[in-house]
Amino acid sequence: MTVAAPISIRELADPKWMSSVEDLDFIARCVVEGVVNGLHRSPYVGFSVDFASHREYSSGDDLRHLNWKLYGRHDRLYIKQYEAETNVDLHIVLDVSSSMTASNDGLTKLRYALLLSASLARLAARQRDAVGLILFADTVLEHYSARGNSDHLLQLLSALARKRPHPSADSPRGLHEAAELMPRRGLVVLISDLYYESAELFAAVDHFSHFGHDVLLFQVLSPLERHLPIDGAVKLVDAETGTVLETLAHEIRASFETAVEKWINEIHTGCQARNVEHVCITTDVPLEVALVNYFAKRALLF
Amino acid sequence: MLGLNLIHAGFLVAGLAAALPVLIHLLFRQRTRTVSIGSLRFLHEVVKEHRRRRRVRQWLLLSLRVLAALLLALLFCRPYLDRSHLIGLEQDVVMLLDRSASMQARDASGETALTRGIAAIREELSRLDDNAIVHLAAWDSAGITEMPVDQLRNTTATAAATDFGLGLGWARDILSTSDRSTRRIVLVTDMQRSGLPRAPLERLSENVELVVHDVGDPMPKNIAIESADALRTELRPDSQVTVRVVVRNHGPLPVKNVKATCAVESMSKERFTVEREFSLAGRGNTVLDFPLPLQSDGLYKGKVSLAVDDALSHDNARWIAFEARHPDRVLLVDGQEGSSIFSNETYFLETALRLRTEEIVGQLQSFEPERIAWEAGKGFPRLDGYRAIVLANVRRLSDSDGERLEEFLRGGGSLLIFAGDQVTAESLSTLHQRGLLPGSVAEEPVEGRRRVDRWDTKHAALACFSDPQQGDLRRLEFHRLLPLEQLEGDSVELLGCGNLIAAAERRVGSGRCVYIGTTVDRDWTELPRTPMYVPLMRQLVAHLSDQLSDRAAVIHRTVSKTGEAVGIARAKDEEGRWVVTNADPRESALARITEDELHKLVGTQQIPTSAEALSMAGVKLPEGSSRTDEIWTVLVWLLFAVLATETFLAGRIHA
Repeated sequence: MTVAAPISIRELADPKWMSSVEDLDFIARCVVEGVVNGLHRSPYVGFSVDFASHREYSSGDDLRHLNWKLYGRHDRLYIKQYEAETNVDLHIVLDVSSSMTASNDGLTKLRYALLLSASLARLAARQRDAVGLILFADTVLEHYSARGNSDHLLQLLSALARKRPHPSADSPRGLHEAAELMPRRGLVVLISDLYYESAELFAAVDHFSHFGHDVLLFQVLSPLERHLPIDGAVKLVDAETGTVLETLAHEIRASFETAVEKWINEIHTGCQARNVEHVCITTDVPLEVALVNYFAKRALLF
Repeated sequence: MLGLNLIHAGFLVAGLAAALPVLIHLLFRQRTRTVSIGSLRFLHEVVKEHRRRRRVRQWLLLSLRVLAALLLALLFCRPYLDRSHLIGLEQDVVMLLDRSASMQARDASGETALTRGIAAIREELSRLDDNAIVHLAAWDSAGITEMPVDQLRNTTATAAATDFGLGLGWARDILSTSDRSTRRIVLVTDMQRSGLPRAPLERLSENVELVVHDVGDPMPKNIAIESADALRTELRPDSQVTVRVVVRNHGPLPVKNVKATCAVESMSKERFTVEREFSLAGRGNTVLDFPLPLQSDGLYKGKVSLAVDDALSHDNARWIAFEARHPDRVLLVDGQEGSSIFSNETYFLETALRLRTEEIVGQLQSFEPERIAWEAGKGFPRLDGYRAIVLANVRRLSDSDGERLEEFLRGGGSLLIFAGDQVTAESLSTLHQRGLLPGSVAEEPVEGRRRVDRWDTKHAALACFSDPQQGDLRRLEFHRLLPLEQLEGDSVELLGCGNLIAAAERRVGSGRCVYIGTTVDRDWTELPRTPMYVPLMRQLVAHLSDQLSDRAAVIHRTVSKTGEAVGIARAKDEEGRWVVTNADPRESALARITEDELHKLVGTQQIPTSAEALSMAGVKLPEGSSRTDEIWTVLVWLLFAVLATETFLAGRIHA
């Protein structure tokens, strides 16, 4: 288990810590801006439903939201603006178990997941949605209830940036605990590598659904875990258990990929059956690209 | 068992290259990278499945690489398949090594033909597989000695001659009982033509192969003593004992001033040496006489030798032994002296006994007859110097005469009595009363022509006449006969006419008495006019003087038994005789028979001795020679197959 020092007031004042928070926030902001600019349609559609006011049309706005009546009356283009749906909470449930810390070249899954979490939090904050955060491993490690103020966002970002221990987790018990901590209906975004038994995973998903949550699964895998893109003799160390396995990577690659794809498909199929979205991303794909692709796909659904 | 042999066995060291793949694997094996992964969940499943397959593949790959290295090393060794062991299972081989005297001949390097022959046998043995049946024998005219292979080096040349008929006949008999398909006779000889028998050689079976190894060397020069015999071994004042030697030059070139020496020694160690010098034309012969000034009776032994350096040394000397003695004195008592010498009663007998051939070889039959006229009334002289006394038509004998004769007979002398007009039963009564006569003599002679119709064919004196070619005693005819009426004691009948006993013999003490019922001259018989007379009389007198059997002191023979050596030795019987053994003179001949001629004589084909035939027999050829049974092509294809499989497998493993 990876162990990090406990967070204290003193550490919070540490410039390095502050730097890491700013760094995470900066990256998340860049990602969000990139996502927003990259989409042809406003991302607000995903999180807002009630009309609020009008504003003048600017380049890039969705033409579907033009108020043609006003155009006919005033000969000017106005875009309808909608009130944010404040009763939809975003619950980010982030897996920080040791399997997420598997470190090789490039980003770790944990860092990728942290950035993804921060980006989503910032997107939600931008829509003035309440955002909550649950960090879990074998159990819930930290819980931040969903709130909509900016201080809370900073708090979440700080929580994400903080170093902490990463206990191993061999079952989704922490997910069940998280579900119990979120009785209020909302959107649950689960970010994990999902190294659980499928039945246990779906039981946890069902647990979230039981409370009326919409569930979105972000499965984050490293390229190594998905394609094993290395050759020769390798000593593979299980980040969870420390178990070592020596093999010739090129020999087992095909079988490994097949097995992994089968596993992912199994999860995907199970999610579809539960009307749960499942997005599998690898850490070699830039985060903004992954998010753009996701939101573009999601927009097609609406 | 696959008989795989190597021409360049030294390249087997290159087989160490089989360790190269292992070495390369150890030296250049990939370093293991340590990689952290979220979960080994799927890897465990996949690796478990692949591990066994991978291990099999890797071992297979290593084996292929090692095999490729070994094949490459083996290829350099130039392997070939030795199928001789298969051939050996069907082979029955008789190896005949000529050990006759001529095999002692040395070539320019001083090596004997026998040494070359042993080497040839060893070479033949080395070509044979252990499964082949081998009968190894040394052979000459004296016999065949089968021997184990390890006794081969102990084989020595004998003094016997060559006899192809004997050796090939023995081999043929052995192979005729063999059930193997390949039957072969390996004949190692110097191809001496004298080894061919007078009768044609018996042909070998069609399925018998004959391999001839001619180890002889054409010999340009050989001077040989063909014979050495003692002539005139009787000691007479008018002549000397002579040893006659026949020397033959078997070579084409003449020889000059060759020294020949005859050296004999008496039993009392008295030595006599005579030397002669002679020259001989090519392929000529000469007779050398060596007169010896011998004076005393007794046995003499020694040898005749030539001082010459030629190819064959065994025939440069010849052993001789002989008995020299004065002739036997025979007293002829003439009972009816004639008016002239020719009309004497004993004229024909004396003449027959005095006959002396010019050169007599071998056993003596010499007599010194002394005649006395009985009617002169002087009686017998001293009888102790005589071997035999002949009474021819003696009218009367006094008691004292009978007493002296009995004493003479019992002392070992012999008496021969002939009938005649003056002989009656009464005139011989003195002898009859003393038990000296073989039987009682008839009162009156029997008139009328009668022929001998029976005789003792086993009698020492008459046995030679059992062969009609040497004289038929049935031609003996009498017109008057004074027979014996009845045989007495241990007397035996010698001649018979119908129911009449014409001649008989009786042993008296150590002597013998023979009675013949006819005259010794022509009065009662025409025997003196027939050719039978001289031999019959001499045989009878020789028998009575013990010249026919007991006194043959020397036996001459040629080597005829296995292991027999030349020289002079005492006979193994108790007679005290000497045996002179010499080499067979036929072995001195230089004429040689060709291999083709021998094959024609025995009806076989010449076995090819080409490199191919030798190769098929599994013979090791010199390095660099090409062989038809090399298997490098098979190895090359095998190597290609191994390398192709290795490449394919390696591609699969490392892909």
